Amino acid sequence: MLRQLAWRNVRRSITTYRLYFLTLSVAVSLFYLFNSLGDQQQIIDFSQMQLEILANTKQALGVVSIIVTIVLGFLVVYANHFLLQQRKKEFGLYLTLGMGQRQVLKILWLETCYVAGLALLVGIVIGILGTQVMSLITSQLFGAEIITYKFVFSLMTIVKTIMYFVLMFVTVACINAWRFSRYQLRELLVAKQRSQIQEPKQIKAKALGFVVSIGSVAIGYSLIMSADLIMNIIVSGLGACLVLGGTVGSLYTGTTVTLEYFRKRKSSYFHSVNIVVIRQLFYQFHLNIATISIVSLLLFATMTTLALGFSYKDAVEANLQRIAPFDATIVFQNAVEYPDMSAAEALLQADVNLDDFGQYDEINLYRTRVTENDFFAQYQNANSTLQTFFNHGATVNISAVSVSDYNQLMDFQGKTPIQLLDNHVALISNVSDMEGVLAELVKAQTSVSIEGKEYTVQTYAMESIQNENYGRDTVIFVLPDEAISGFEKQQVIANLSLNPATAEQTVIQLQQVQAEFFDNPRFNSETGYFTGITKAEIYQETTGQTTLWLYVGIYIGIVSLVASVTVLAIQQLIEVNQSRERYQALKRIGVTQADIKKMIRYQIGFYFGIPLLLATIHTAITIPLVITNVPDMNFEQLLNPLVFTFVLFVMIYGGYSYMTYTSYCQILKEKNVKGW
Amino acid sequence: MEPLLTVRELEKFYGKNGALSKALDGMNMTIEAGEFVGVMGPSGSGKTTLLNCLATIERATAGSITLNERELTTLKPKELEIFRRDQLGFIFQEFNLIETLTAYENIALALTIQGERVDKIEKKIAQLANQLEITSILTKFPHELSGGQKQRVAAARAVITNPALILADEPTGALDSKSAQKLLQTLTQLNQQLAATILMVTHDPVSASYANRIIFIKDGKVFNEIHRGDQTRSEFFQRIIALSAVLGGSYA
Ligand SMILES: Nc1ncnc2c1ncn2[C@@H]1O[C@H](COP(=O)(O)OP(=O)(O)OP(=O)(O)O)[C@@H](O)[C@H]1O
Ligand SMILES: [Mg+2]
Repeated sequence: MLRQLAWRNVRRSITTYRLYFLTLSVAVSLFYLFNSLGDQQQIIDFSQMQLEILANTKQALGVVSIIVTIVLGFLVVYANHFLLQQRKKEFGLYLTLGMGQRQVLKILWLETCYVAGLALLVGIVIGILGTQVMSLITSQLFGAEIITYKFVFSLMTIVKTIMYFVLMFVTVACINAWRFSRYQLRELLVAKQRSQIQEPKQIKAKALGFVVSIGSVAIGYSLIMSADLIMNIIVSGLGACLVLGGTVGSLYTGTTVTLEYFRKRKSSYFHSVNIVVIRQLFYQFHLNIATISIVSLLLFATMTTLALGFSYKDAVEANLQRIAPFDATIVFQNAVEYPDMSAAEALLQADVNLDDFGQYDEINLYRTRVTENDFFAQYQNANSTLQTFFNHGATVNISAVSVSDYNQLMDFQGKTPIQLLDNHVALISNVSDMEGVLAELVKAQTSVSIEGKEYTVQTYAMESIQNENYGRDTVIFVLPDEAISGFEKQQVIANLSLNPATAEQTVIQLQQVQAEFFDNPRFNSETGYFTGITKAEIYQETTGQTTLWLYVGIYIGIVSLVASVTVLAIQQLIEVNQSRERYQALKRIGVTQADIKKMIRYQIGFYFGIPLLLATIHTAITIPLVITNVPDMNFEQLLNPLVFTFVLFVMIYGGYSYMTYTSYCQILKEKNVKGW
Repeated sequence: MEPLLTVRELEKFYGKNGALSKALDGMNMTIEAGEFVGVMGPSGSGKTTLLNCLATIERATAGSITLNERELTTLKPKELEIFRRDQLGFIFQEFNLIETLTAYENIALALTIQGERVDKIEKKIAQLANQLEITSILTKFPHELSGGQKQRVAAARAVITNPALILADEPTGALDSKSAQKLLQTLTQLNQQLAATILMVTHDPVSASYANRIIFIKDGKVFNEIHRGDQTRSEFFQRIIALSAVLGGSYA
């Protein structure tokens, strides 16, 4: 009997449950989707390293999932509050009909079960379907291949999803029960008074506040811009606070200012149903200013994360071209003890023949007594880019290579060699931030004293002399051959170009050899030690790392987007539940149906639109700021992510606001507004 | 001359075949321009339904309604809206003011939706507010007004557009007797000074006694009607009481 009643209730109040149901399903499917990431090893050929990263990703997403569940829990409590509010009268009626509070609670509980169960089911199905698409994307992002096309499906993930959500729903149901038990019957029967509307006060002060707020946004941004790099945390932090405070302030004062502005322009204020729309929006914004601020902030975070996340990944990968230009690098580290041995000779002693792998080129790396600190002394205070290097204790000695070694390496890569004059030095670097400084040094024809001899800086090049995973070469000297002969030799670097036909196997072979460099003491005792890294390894690791963060970003981004729009939607639907009389009145005094619908569209449009607009404006300012300041990011990479973000927003934001609109009209109809 | 409003054999049925409820069952009446007509009848007799049909927010099942020589029952929804906006004014028991608008804006809304110009709106409201003695409360919001004040604002909104017919459904229902009296005086004033035609549903014989004519309805039909003629209000009141007693039913 109770069960039938509950089921009938759910079906009957489908309009109000619809949005709630949608959000739950989306949340469940996202939860499943991101937690099923690990299951994709079933069909994707991940390397060992990628598998490790995948494990990390799973872990990170697991932690994020807990946060996501808590956030959703709050959302569900909020939505339930709304549903309860809306149906107070109905429950009051049950009580007056002689049903016990327990039975009413049971109805409520059963209803929650039906809706949650259905959402769980639908969400998991969508999630499973989504996973199939996601594996394609994952393989792309990781740069791994799909070995078999089969349906990815994991019982574990399903169980986990169900567990989390059931736990959440039980918690929510308890909160509901607790809240419900505190209602008095009288409270249930009498609808709550709406909070009271007031004319805005202190208009002059608010107008001033508005100007100040806009000003502080402007100052905040100029502070962030003047902080040059995002590195200067205090100044940009202050800037960010000013922007944030200014935005919230302008939102708060802006509602009043806008209202007053329209009231001054009487001919548009007193036109058609404008008064109603403007007043209504003013009222709602005023009432919900905190939510709107938070929603705007969340939307901003989502937009920037989605738009920049992909570009950042692209940027990092573009940078790989520079830090890993060779198929593989093997470095003989004991050149100090064996100054006359080439890397190939040393490796031969360890039974490794470089010729087996393909072509190679060797370059000798020498050490000078010039430190980076000394060399860049004049820039230490002037240039914040360099500052950050010195802050990290860059008292390292600068290395040097001979011009013939260098040119040979350039030749090996099919690049143009340099013509170095006597008593001149060329600078090379693979840190893109350094380019400006190097150019200046060349332009100023700076001279530098290296091991007691003066050299003039002739030219510079942005090149790498080896694959590097973490280290970067801030600067390396290229010196005439005769100058270098007396220097201390540090390392011999062998860069390999693999035979394309067998490259794939060779890489595996090489990686095994390299693993042995570390594991097998044979190498260490007899010939000193080697280090090395293949391009493939650097690529996999880097793309793996960035993909991890990208996933976390997308996950949080989409969840906060959905949460934001749901909150906005619920607030609108609370509104319509309280305004039956208002629409009845409008209808009676002859406002046309078309005008009423237009009013609702405007109301919902602005309510959803203003936070979106704010977020868009700030994103539009922030993105160029980030791109110009983060090396290797550029505007071209931005196109696809922007399109993706845009489509996602149109779908979710547009979809939700449209559904809010249709639900709004539907509720008016159900509430029996005469003549609707 | 044709009467302002003619209702012929009006029927309004609710529900389906099985549980059919005949809210209006062959209603006939005419109202001349400038009349102040009261409608009385037991609860459930169809008063509100009649008003809703006249107000065109409910469609009649059969019969005809002619206002200003226009047949309302055949108007299309869009035409109905325009008609309602331009020809009718409403005062209801629940005050039906928009909570987020000031009294002034509530009254202005009736004009803005007709596309009236701002300067005209200002002039009209100033004049009417003066007449109805609500000038001092124009800047207040509904929740800051007393029930009587709200109802006078609603009355002002109903007449500001010079409608052909003002419909009032128990306008004094939620008011104390003093506020009710004030509102009824306002309606009388509108009727006499602005020649507004008023159709007022009421349970209350005192309220009814302000009208020039009372139509009694029962079971969805006109049962009887009495004219005030040259009688004083209290004489008329006595007659209403007497007739109500004959009619029976609840008038509380
Ligand atoms: N929407 C509706 N659906 C079904 N029946 C209705 C509806 N509205 C009114 N009725 C029925 O029509 C009849 C007339 O109702 P109406 O509201 O017109 O009465 P009334 O004279 O205004 O009563 P009261 O004095 O109590 O306000 C009643 O029997 C009522 O039950
Ligand atoms: Mg009634």
